[in-house]
Amino acid sequence: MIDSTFSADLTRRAFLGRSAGGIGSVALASLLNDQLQAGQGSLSNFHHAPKAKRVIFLFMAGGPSHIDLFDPKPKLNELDGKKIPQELLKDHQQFALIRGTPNLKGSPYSFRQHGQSGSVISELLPHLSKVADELTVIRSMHTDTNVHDPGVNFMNCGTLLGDRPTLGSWMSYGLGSDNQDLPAYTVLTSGVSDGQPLLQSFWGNGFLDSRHAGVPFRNSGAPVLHLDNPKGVSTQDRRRELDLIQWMNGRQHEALGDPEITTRIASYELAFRMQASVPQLADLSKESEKTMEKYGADRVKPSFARNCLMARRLVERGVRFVQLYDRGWDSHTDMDREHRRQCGAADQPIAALIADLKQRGLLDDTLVIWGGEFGRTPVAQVMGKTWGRDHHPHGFTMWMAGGGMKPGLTYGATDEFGYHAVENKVHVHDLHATILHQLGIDHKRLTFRSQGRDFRLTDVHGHVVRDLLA
Amino acid sequence: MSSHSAICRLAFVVGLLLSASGAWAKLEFNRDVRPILSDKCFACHGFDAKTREAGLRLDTEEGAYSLKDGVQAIKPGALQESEVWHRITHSDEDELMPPRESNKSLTEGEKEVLKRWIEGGAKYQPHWAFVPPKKRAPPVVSGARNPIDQFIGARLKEEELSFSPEADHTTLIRRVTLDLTGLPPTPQQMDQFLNDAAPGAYERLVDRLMATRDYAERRSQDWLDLARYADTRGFADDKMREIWPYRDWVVHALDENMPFDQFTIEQLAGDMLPNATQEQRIATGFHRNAPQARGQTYPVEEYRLKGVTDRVNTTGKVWLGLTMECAECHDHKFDPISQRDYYSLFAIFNNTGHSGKGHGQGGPTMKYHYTRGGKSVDERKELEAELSKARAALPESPLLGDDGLLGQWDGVHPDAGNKKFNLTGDLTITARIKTRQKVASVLSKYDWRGKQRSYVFGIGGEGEREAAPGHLFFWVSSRTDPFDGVSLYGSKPVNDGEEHRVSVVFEAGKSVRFFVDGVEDKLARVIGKVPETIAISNRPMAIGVGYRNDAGAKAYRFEGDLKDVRLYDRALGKELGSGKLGERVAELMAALGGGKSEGKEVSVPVMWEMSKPRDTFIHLRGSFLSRGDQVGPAVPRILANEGEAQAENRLEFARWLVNGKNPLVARVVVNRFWQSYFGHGLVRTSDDFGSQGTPPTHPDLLDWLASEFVESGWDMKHINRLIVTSATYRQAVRISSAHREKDPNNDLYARMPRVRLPAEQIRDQALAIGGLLKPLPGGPGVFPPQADRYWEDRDLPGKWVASKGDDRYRKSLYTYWRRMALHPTMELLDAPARAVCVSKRTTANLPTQALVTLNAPVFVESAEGLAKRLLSEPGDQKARLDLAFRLCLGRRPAPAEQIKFLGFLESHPAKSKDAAWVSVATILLNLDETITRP
Repeated sequence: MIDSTFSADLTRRAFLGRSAGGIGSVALASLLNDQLQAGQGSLSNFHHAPKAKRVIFLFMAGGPSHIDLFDPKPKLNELDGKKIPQELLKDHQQFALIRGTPNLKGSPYSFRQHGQSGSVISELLPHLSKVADELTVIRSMHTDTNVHDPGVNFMNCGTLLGDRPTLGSWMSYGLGSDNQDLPAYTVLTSGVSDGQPLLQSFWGNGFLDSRHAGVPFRNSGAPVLHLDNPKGVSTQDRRRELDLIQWMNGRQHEALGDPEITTRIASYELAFRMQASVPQLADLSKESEKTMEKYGADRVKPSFARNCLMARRLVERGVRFVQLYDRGWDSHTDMDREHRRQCGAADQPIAALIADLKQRGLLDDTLVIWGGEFGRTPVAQVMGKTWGRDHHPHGFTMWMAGGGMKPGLTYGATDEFGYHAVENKVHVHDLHATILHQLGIDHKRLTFRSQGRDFRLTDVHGHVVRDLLA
Repeated sequence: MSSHSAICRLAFVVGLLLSASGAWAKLEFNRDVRPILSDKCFACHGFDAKTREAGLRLDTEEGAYSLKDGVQAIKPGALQESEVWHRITHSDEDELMPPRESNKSLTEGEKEVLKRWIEGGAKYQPHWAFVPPKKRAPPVVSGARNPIDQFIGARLKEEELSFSPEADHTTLIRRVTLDLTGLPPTPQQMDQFLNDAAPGAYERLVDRLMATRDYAERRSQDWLDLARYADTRGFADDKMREIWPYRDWVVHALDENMPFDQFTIEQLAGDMLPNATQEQRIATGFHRNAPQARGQTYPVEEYRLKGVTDRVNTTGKVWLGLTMECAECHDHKFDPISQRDYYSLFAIFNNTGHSGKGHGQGGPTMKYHYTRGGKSVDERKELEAELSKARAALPESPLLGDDGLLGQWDGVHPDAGNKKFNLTGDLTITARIKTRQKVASVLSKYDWRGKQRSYVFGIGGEGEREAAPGHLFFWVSSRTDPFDGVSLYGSKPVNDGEEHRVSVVFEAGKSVRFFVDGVEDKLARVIGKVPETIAISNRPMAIGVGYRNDAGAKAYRFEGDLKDVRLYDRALGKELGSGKLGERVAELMAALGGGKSEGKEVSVPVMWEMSKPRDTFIHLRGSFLSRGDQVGPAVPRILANEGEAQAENRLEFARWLVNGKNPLVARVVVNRFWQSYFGHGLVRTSDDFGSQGTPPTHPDLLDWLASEFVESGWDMKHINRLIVTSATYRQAVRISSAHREKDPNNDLYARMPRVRLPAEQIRDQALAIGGLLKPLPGGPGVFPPQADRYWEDRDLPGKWVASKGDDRYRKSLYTYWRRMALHPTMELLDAPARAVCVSKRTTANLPTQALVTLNAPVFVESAEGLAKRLLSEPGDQKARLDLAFRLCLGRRPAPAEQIKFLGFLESHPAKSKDAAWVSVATILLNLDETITRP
């Protein structure tokens, strides 16, 4: 941080209540006013001009199979059923669940080139194929672990233990929110249970304060916890109560001069506004029939498709970071059934989301990211008559769309087995650096002092992958 | 906040330097210069030799003054001949220091400080925290009550400020009661204090409060944040572990004011003490709180080492106030801690067994028998005696009769016949069992893996997720595959090694019920729909054994006594009951906490030193796969006193920490006590006393308190008492314009800061005000209601079954603390999930928090409780309002407030008086004044 931010920062700190003592009594009116301004982040200025203002991260929890969706391997198909070559197994930890020397497994799915870009996509994703030209596909991702929860942590906060702020928290911290009536960082969940829980650390704020934690929207009851008034309390009743609460708080502020009290007053007003804005957000009754059809979503019933539509509504309202967790991609033993099921539920809404964002002019400055915590092995995990694939961190595919990425690009490559990323490798830290770059942030300069050290999302690593940028 | 703090600090320091006499006061290296050098220079010119640029180090005098190729980085007294000065003011960006790519720059104020320092002789001081504290005589000032005030007052005088007046008595009692006990004062307590006009009334109040168990519980809360105490193991499976006896140990130790040296030794190495007691072993749960990965996909050694790393880092933070973790991968950049130092400490903590495989993997545990709840051991024994007598008097086999009896067996029978048992309608199974098994079959015609479902009765549900080990289960399906029927799970364990008569009664399409010892288990969980019919499985009837995808029954074999197993083709009713005697048995079991065996014996994780220590190596770049030199156990060199024996193991290390010579430990601990009352420590960075931390605002006071702490025999209550009886603590909170101008952050303590209550106290206070709080001590974590499906929606294993009765209203300290999904009331109000050691909580002020206190069920219930309490009081509206204000705010309403609230009641649109008062209660529970420690 630089000197010029000092005074602005004091006001912000007073508002957000980080200081125990307080800096000065700022009139309530101006505080409330200040609070409505856009951009409450720690960065007063972008490090460079941003390409994207917000992010939608479609997280395919469990690990989708790159080999069956985006990264066809003719050689692998040819050697289907043969033992895995020993040299692939050198220098890496064991498989997560497979023991012994497994057999190679080709992909049973056909791949075709799509659009003008000729991006290659599997038959399992027919809808996505129609927006192939919007995608920037990275076939050379790699990560540091083949265990689920450390993997998800790593993809979110760059450490295996999940003890640091997540990408969304860093964004909230750095950029603040464009909509004070909604949480800056929202998490939506869907999919089938496959025994991999969603942990608090996946949207955790680490050492940043709790206003930067992700707010998980619930699939049952009100989307935000405790949003509804208690039974029998109407909006008018609540307003009357709030008026008296605020009157009392105002008296307290007059008597004591503690700026924290004005923040409290603002918090209660925001809570009241959220009680209106969140249900409006979640109310899909005004979405056209055509839109619902395009997404394949029900207006009420929770689903990944509904979450995709919600994601659009959230970014439309200026929410900074929306993360969708779709569960059920951990196809160890019944790949065909499970991946068909997952693709069946996710393909159409993702394509619809991209098209919808584009049509509304939002895709230009909204960065959409698709991927899981890792890919899946080119070797089979066999269970009776069915087969699947194990966790695979050494090479896998993610894609991005919009937000100033180079559309239609397919970048990097894995080896002929789809095993190791070999060409233009992109590590998770590099992905993080690139995402922040698109948001106008130098990943080395967005830091937070904790325990005497300036921490950052990319720790001491990460390079912006400029080849990916438009 | 990154560099904000540095900037604020500097602005503050510069401000002070200027303010004293309008001119620069004397610079002090540790206070004024070191923070700048450390933050802006040490990363490349500091302790870590590997990243040292140009061979220059600025963290030592020798390094800074040395002449290299005719150039001197710093020449004392000679600004123009000091290369540093030229480089930090250089106009050429390529020459400028710090370099652009470091993302660091010096402000004009910082440059000015460095200039003046060099001109003044560039005197270095050893880092203050590594120099043992000196107990200086406190300066004489007026208005002081104890030495704390003398140090604070002297500094205030220097800055031309003075103490604020003492807070009024209503504020004082609310402040000190909330601080010391975590609860608001009751009207009786207020009256007692306010009517005590004799001198020393406040001190007597403090003594009363500090003698309560509430005091110990409140202090424990802070310690448990440091100990990262939680009821689950962390990582994805996040399973329960029975480590709560450690939490109770902490409360107990603080209750009896265990000296801090003993408190330290027992927690770090209680297991290694000669003739260690059970309690001393439980204390070592401190370091078993480290998260523990389990399951087959985690590489075992990698995640074992993560546990050791956590122990080293936590120890560093809690006792030394040092950020040890920086040295995990390389020599520390800012503090003199080498990577070798780090792994020498690592060697001390690397010798705990790590046994088991897959989900069974973990460290040593100890069987622990405990007495539960508020019941004394004697009381419990009495109840247990009556229970066993009543049990003995129950008829061994109730008069069951032969009507509909299809078979009767003793012991295990893998093949007891088939066709005869293809029941499709009502049935009853009953048996006498005596076992300690967690999972065992009683009677089975059911093989789900083999897609041959019919019905099965036993213990532990074949290990399935919904089932609890040692509890009864019954599954029945109307289809052989997939399952289509009902599952029933018993509410209490039956595997306590005592004999029980257990029965299940199935009425097709209607009901399914368990009976244990003649009493229906009404709390049993029913999942699914009771089917109209039962599928026919081709598996033969198996007694005392079950099926796992095999035509023959081989699994879940019953070990123990299995007698009088009976199968009826009708639903038995009254025959299973045992009348009054049976009911008394049920009552006694409930009184004892749900069954004689429940919680009586648990397996507590403890430390246990291996007889042969592991070899420890330096992990290059922190990777356990790249081994460097082998290292032995040792304390960090910078802290090792000459002539002292090295710490060869955990016990010696623990004793070394508290031998009274360590410059850090006492300071770090008293600083956190201070933080607990004033919102921040004398050292603001309570977890970093290194050179990147902030220097103490009142170094002499910190040293005095630290010395006093050691001299008092590490008496924790003594230091806490000194703080809360000081005039500094008793000041009013009002922020004046002088405060705002001269000391906006309250570094000088010219007033008392207001502090928002921690999560636990916000909830506990509401419960107390609502008359709902049940102040029962200890025992396993409890489950106050949380939002439906909170765990399920995240696919977390287990089920949050809301506690019933008293456990619903226990103090939040006893709430089941799940690391990966903390109870939302706690989480939203800024309580840490405790996956890692937390030295200071962050406190936000958010709309989502307002929604909690306005709408969360516990606050709604508390508001209703308060309204009920008020309405049951005699007197008019005014009297009720008086009481409401006193309960919530510790004071009576001001006239304007009274008018406003009475008007609110008067005009309330609700028909009933009750609703209007609930509304008032809601308002009062949500005031800033209510949730803030005044």
